Amino acid sequence: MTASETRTANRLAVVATLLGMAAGVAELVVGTSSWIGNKNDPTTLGWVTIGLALGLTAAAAVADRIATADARLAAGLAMVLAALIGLTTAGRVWIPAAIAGATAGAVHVMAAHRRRPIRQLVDNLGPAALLAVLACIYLTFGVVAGGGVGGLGVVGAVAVIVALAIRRRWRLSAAALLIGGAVPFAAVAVWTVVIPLTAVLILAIGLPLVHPSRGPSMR
Amino acid sequence: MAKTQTQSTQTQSAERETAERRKPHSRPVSDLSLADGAPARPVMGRRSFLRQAVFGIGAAFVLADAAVAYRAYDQGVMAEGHGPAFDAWKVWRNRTGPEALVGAAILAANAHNSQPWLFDLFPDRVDLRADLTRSTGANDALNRELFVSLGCALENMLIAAPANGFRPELLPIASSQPDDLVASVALSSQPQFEPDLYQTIGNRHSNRSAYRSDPIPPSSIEAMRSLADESVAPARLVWLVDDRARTRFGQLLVEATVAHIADDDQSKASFAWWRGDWNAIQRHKDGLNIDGVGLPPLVRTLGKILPTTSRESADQTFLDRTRIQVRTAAAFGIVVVDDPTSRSQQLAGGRLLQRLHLWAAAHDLGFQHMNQVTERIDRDQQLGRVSPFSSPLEELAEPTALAAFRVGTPTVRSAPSPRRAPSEVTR
Repeated sequence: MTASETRTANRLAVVATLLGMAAGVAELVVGTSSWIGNKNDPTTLGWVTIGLALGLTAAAAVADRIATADARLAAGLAMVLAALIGLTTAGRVWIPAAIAGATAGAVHVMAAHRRRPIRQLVDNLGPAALLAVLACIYLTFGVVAGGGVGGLGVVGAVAVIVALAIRRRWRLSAAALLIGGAVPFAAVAVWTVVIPLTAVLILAIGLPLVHPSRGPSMR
Repeated sequence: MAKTQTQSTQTQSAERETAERRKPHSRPVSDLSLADGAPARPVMGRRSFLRQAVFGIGAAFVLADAAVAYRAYDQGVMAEGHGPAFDAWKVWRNRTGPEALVGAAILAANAHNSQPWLFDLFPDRVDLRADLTRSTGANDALNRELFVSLGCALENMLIAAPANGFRPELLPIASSQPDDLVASVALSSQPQFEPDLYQTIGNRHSNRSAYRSDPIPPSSIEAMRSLADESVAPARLVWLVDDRARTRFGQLLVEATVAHIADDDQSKASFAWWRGDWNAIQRHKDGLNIDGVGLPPLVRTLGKILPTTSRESADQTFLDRTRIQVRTAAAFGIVVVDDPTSRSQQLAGGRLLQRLHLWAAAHDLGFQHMNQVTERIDRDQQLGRVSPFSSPLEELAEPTALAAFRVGTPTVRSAPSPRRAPSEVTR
């Protein structure tokens, strides 16, 4: 990635964050409005919108700091995803942030592709990305549920992400984190259907990832 | 010159090799070529193919899981009792002055959670008015349950008044007053104290689950009977606790439910208050929803994730649930008055019902209003025909039965129902 592209992507990320935070604050202050998607719970979604906006800068910072093709692809995709999700949390007022954030994300994705083909990057990152999606499901329901039960969901999500991060160096610990993160929330929320399903997928995808076998696997 | 050419060639070759090494992960091209000499495309190894196939299957499962998760999130799974529609249950004690009484009143039991009330606030008075636009139509053909519901709200106001430093006094309603004025409560100051049932106002929810087979202790029966004091006269309570009476009344309820769902107008009027998705619950803040049906948690979740129910399906569920509810009732109670068509006696009956419901909640008993029989009686009267339910009900209770309920030990915890905020019902 050239210096010019880096500057452009970073500036776009900052602009997206500022616009996104403005959208979130507007949602908190104004409440229900057609411009903000007529949400029933604008308070919660306003904070989520602010979180997404901050996530855009965080993703850009990760891409800039680590600067590998894998990191750029992951960050770029995360920025595009955050840009899209914000449209569901804040409606039309998020559009400027979405455009800036998605553009910044696209710059990172293209830079990653120039270094290594996307196919190879997906091959490397794919299972980890799937696990990150599953962790997001845990996080979402953990926040929704609240209380002690919700806390298990939030902790479980964090445990999955940490397991991803440490899997190459501390495989046993990563496996323990996956099991310890996924099982408790699924046990107390077994009636939700979606949480135990997610737990099964976390273990089915995550355990081979941290303990790769000789046979064909997802790695 | 020859030596220079050789050096040049070697240099170019070395440069090419260096460039090739520097290419990030360039894939080696198979040296097989096609029979016609055209270069062959790279062949994917079996291991690589299997790896990508496994990844594809995993991605498909994760995508499906994410879709189900989104549906569950959108339908409020794990969010029961949360959101603006349920704030009224959390903040009802935060208000002061006459508005505090409204905060308590709006948590009262009421038909189909239609919340048919409006309030006028004055510094020393609260007026309770009937919101007839919230009648449940053919389901409550003569507005009997509407006024009983207003009686429930009135009782909550009268219980909440001392807890907020007021001495309440029910004022007589002059005939010159507007028709929709149901009750006028004058407020004067007195030392604050909390009546026995005050704290339970925020915990009272109808429980439509199956009940356990534990009988109601005679002491509880008597305690609830004693709640029908002079303040709610002429409302009084008839208990159906012996097996014969319970079974017979249960049969009546099932038969009335069958008649209800066969009556297109009643079925539609009832379904109009069904809030089938989370957004509708939060938007309307009224009506009935799947969290209040009394289903086990897993069944409830599946009901939310699967496509929204139809009216016919809802009718069948209503009948199936009624069969379970009557079979598991420990006892039925019937509130009786002298004239069930009298508005003032409907209010009195409503006050007694609310008192009974609060007492049951305070003692961890399940309580569910079950008025299919009287609904059919009123509907038959509206249609100008003799109701087949009048005589059987008269045999069990008195000819002037107003409303009925069941009690028992619940198997599933009851869920709060959505409520409109005081600001939405105060003029």
